[in-house]
Amino acid sequence: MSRRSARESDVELLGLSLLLGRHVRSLDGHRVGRVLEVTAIMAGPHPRLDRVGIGTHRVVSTVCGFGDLVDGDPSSALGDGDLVLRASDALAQVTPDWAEGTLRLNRDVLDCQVIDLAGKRVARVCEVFIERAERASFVVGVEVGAAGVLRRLGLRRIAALIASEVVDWDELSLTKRQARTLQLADAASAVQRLEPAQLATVLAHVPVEHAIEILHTVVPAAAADALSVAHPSLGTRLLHALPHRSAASFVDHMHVDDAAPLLRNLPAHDRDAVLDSVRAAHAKTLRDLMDNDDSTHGSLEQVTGRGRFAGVKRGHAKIPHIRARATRSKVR
Amino acid sequence: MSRRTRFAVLAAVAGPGLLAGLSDDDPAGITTYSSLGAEYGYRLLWVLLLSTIALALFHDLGARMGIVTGQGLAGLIRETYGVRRGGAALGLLVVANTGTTCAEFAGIAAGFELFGITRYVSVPLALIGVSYLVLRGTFHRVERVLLAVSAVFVTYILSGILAHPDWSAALRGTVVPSLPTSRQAVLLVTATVGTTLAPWGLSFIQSYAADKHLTVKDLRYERVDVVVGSVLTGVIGFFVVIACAATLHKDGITIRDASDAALALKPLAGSMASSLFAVGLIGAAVLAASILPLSTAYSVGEFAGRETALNDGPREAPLFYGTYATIALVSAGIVLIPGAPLIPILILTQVLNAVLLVPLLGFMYGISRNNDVMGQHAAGRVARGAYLVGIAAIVVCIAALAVLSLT
Repeated sequence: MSRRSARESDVELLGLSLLLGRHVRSLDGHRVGRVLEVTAIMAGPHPRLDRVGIGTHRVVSTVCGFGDLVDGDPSSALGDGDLVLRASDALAQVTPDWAEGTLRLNRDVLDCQVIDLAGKRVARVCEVFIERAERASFVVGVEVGAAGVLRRLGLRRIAALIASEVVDWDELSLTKRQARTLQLADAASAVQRLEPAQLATVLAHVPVEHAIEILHTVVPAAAADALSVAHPSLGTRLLHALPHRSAASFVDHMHVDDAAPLLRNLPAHDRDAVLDSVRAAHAKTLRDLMDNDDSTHGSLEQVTGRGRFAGVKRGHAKIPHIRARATRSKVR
Repeated sequence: MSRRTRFAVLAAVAGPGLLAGLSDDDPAGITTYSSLGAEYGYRLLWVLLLSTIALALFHDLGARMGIVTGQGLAGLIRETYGVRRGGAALGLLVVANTGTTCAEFAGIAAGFELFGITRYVSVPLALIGVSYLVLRGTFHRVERVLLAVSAVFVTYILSGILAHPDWSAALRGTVVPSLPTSRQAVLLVTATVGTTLAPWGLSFIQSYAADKHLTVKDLRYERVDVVVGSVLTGVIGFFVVIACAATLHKDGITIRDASDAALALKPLAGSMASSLFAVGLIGAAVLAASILPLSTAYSVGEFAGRETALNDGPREAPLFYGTYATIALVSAGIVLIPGAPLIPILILTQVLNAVLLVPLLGFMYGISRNNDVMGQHAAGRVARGAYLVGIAAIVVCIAALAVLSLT
């Protein structure tokens, strides 16, 4: 699906926001509640729809399988009518672990921040697209941008004037804590396949806590490469936030010219703790390099352009978050 | 960790609390504090103390939410409460912030007019200055310039000392609560709470802390930053009140706005005190006129899913800079329209700010206790109790204001 206009998208796509809040009826026509949550299992390139949480006042009281729900009135427009349970025994009482290990699409994806890896930007999801099929249904992508927001606010005419963007699930990195844990645990997740510069872009656009988790997910060499190409102020912040042993393992894989500027700007006790865990020879080189520079201040703020950043004066121009390293990897 | 290292880390973290706190001492705030001192002397200083505690409490919450989630308030409300409630909060915030920015530019105009400079020179220059700073400056440069502008608040302290206040009466008024049973007194108490704890300050501190990429390791240092910022805000308010209490109240002079106070101080406390007061007013207005559009731009970007860092350039973040420019331009433009109804705009803005404050604090309270969002940093029982007491006090103030306004 990659990237395409929502107006051209497949008619079989179902929007999650149109599903949420709809009444659910039993076979005898009795209303059992509203759709409050839909869960999906992270398996393969696209999550497979699993269960639907039904309840009232934001509290899920019963669950059923996603395939157990059908449109009550097939002739009505999508989202207009009630949903009906296929079988009388489809409902199950909710248990505390009903959604454990699964992606909660309403809580963890809809209206949440995501990283659009292809577009290299942070975006907020305004719609989650589900491909509904007879045998199984899958989350295929999300819509980001203003059009979906306006549509959900009831401003359909204005929304129609704006072409919205749909991003394939495979090009997303989730940021909500519970969701990203599931996604990062997936060996096939997009983050694992990113180039250093792309990974650095992601690190620059997510909260530090999330960035730390990502760094721990990828192999140390990849994390080190990403830290090397990230802006020094970001690299320093991340090293500062990392546990000392993790920071040391990444520094171990970094070229001394890349690691020294980051370490130089760490508070002295953090710098010493990291260097104590780095390979002895590497640590000695780094210490020598930093000792030969008089401007070791130990302040997170005092980050200036060095090495490949030399000549970049902070404040004289906007400095992009990421500066791609052109030749370093070849030279090394 | 050595004391020097701790100080270095604190210096690196400081900023959100100081800027969000001090920018609350804007012209509207200075006018309220001046009226408090001019009309009731030292008697209502205790209100300022309680407002300062509430400011520290909720700014600390905002900064914590920004650091833990890495998101601003508008985005977090959308994520947690959905697009409709988030959109409603954002809509009110944009309107209220535009009105408040008008008040800041009006403050700049009034301040310069005290020195004989027409608003048709001062307001466009201020607009160009604040726009240039944000459009061309990096995060750290913007922060340093704004912190440097904040230093102007020291003029209020000097002005207060030059007014030779009655220190024992001031201390008594600060710690012994008493409330005159008049409509005007209740109005001023509510206005003091409302001007100290503003919706835009709450959204700004959270967005700014997130933009600064502070980490949970920085939380205790950020708390120091917030407390220092709040205490300084309270201290400046205290000196404004005592300057007016020692002079205007003593001579039975009432004022309409902060520039009136600066003028009235001249024969009573000397031209130095008067000039310092006017300089402080200009500095306060410039600081708030920079931060308000910034706060709005952050919020719009967060809600729309176009989160932006100050280090991004205008080409990378057109929505952010477009919002900033629009808010600043519209606000400055309104101030420059001859005969523009500034007073109704400012009153409507204050009402909107008051109306918006309660749901915004409600959203913040809900998010603060949400384990899904805040994880291990979710508010504990004591903190939740403190937030509820603070919100209840503000609700009582606003309800009293509403009742008094309608009767």
